[in-house]
Amino acid sequence: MLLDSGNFTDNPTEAGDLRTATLLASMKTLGYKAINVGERDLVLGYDDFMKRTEGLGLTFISSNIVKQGTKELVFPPYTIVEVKGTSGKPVRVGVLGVDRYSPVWQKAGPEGTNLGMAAPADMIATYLPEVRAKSDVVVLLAALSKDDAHALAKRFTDLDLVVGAYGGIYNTLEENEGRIGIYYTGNQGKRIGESRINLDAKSRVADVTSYLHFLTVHYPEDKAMQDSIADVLAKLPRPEPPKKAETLKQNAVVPVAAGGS
Amino acid sequence: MISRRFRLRWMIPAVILIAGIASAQVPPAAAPVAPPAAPNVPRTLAVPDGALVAAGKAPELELLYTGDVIGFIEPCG
Repeated sequence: MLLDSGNFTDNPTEAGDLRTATLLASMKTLGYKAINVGERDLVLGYDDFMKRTEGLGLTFISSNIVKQGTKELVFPPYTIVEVKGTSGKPVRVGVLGVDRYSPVWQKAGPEGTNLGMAAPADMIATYLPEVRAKSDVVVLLAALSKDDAHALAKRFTDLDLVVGAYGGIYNTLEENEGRIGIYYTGNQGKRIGESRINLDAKSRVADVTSYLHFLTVHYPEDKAMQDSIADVLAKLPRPEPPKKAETLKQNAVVPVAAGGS
Repeated sequence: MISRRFRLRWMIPAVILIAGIASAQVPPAAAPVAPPAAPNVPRTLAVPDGALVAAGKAPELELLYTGDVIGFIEPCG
């Protein structure tokens, strides 16, 4: 089961939009089950986000993006994904998602409203009990600092796993708060986290073994995906090379200006 | 001449005394010391033996996760 903690969006340029669209289409092909909405993903506001993700069939969640000044959510606060376990029994995975708290963050929201960020702990406290009641495994997707993730895991002991990404930080070693594992995967899609989970007789997490895969050239390419991305790259607008005369002129001006006293 | 009986009379207490002093100087048997506890080193997240996928029995549930991908679709570095 594939999850993403958000901030998948490239810069809002023609090339960036094409990359983001390709990435989202690929995430759909790969079968991502839940994606947290990150701050970057809303850089042009709610309506732009909805337009870019319309019809993809991906599940986007956020437990703490709200209409400014309220606790009214604009995305589903969680999702429960039922998958077939290796034993053949169904396993219910509850997924919440949070972004870092910022009292000054705001973006254009739906229907003339503004979006704001509620405190993650307040929102987890609101929704975790119902997610726990409906799930065998509860995962928090975290687009906030690892220190904040530790603090949340320490407080909310009904979580099973916190997986996140923020500021390029990634784990090389196992990190826990009590029985809750905390795994950060870095940025730019260079690493992918893996957690192998076994359940006890009561369908609660019995053990978790995790790995972080650094996607070097040793990992084989998927031919179909590679071809599809090559097609997109061919369409990307190429930046115009600087004109030679201008470059020379600029270079010539700098030393004169620097030594002109 | 010192009779045998006289010598024994002094030797026995002397031996007891010396044995007592000697035993008092022997350091008491050391209390058993537990071996030092293994340092609590967190487990590495690297896949063992440089493999692409770790060996082992299939778990009941497998999660794979990413984040902060910021539009990267090309190999980097």
